[in-house]
Amino acid sequence: MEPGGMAQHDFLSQPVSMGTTIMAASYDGGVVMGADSRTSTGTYIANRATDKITPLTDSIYICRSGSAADTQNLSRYVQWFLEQHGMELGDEPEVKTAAKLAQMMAYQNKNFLQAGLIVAGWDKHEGGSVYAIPLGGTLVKTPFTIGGSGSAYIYGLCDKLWRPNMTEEECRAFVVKAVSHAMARDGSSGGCIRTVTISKDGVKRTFTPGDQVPVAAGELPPPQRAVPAQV
Amino acid sequence: MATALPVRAQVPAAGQATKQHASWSPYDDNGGTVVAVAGDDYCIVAASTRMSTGYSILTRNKSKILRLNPKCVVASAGMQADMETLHKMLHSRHVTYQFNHRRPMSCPATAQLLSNTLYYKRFFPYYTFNLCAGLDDEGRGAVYTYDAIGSYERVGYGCQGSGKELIQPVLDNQLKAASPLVLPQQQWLSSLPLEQAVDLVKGAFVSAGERDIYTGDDVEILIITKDGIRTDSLQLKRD
Repeated sequence: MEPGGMAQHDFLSQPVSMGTTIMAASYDGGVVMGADSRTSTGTYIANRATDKITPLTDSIYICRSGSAADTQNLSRYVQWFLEQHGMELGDEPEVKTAAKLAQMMAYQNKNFLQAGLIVAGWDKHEGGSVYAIPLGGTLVKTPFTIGGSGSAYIYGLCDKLWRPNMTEEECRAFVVKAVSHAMARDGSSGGCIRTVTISKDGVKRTFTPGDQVPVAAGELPPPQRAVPAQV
Repeated sequence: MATALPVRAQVPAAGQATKQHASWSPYDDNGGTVVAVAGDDYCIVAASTRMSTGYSILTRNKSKILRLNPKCVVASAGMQADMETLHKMLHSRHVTYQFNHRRPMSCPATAQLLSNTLYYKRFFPYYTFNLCAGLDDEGRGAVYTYDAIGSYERVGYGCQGSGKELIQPVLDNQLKAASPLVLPQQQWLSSLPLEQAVDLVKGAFVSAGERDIYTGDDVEILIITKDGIRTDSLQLKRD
């Protein structure tokens, strides 16, 4: 917009990206997935209450980081393939199938996409499973994984705090604590914390509003709510 | 302008003063701001009408709003050439839809179509920043906000364009409406009466006009209800 021409496609070099913190962890009986809620375009926060945890099937969800448009469209394709596959199979698709489909799309289009994904869920064959699909299109099954720009700050914390065979409550507390520490240090992560817990009993969603996110050392307490929360 | 003479770009060369080379861009930003607010049974869509390039005004009276049907409109800020083509594409698809389905497209359907149309040009995007707004299938106000390559979601209110950073915090503060994604679900459609919401939007544009050089001249305002689309307008400073 400056006279004499504009910065080379600055809106392209700063597409809406989920500078983000996402993670998923398995516990004894299922998985807990967590994410912050900030979507930024450069320094502007385009959405402060995003939902980055998207359903692929009733019991398989995906955490999205990277380009919002790329991951929204990729998720829709995977939802579609899984729905058709489930019809042909006559049964609920497995988590590893969903993860494989997402990975194939991410790997085969690696030159065009910017998508860091975590696929997690519950199926009757493997129980709870977590699969990480970072930027190049690797697929790796892990007990827990973290992703997004904010994850850089919590590798040590997660390595220290995670244990196998936690209970559902312990696992959720671990996820909320880790995401809150990432939000404290990463400017591109913030807002609220969402978690999705998937087990044989179904799906449970929780939401921690911004002023109830645990406060890290040295952080100021959140300001008083202007409008009281209503149920 | 997209057809202007090539720009001299500065490129730092190893160990020397910056080199110059010419570069041309297919894109230009014509400025302007669009705003939409959804209520329980109404939707307000407003767009400034100034079209600029660089520090010049090309026209004071360019509409940024496409009226697809009485229940759904698309408002686009950014490059007007891409906006016009995008609007033509959507209108054409809408005509075909009515041919095949014997009824107009609903607002949620248009929202998805717009996303797909934008992502189709993922690697040579439409330089448009869009809002799709109208009434949903239950008659409640609907606003969908987009980036240039089609990522979108439904919100209670939104703004795009050169004045968005000036207006969005005002709406955040005054509408006191949560996001539809907050849990437990809170009231996220504005409960303001229609006339108060229109006054808020007008006030926001006046303020944006003071601080954003690309927002000014006039504001085209559409008020969408079950009885159809009513238009209003607001004169802004022409400086």
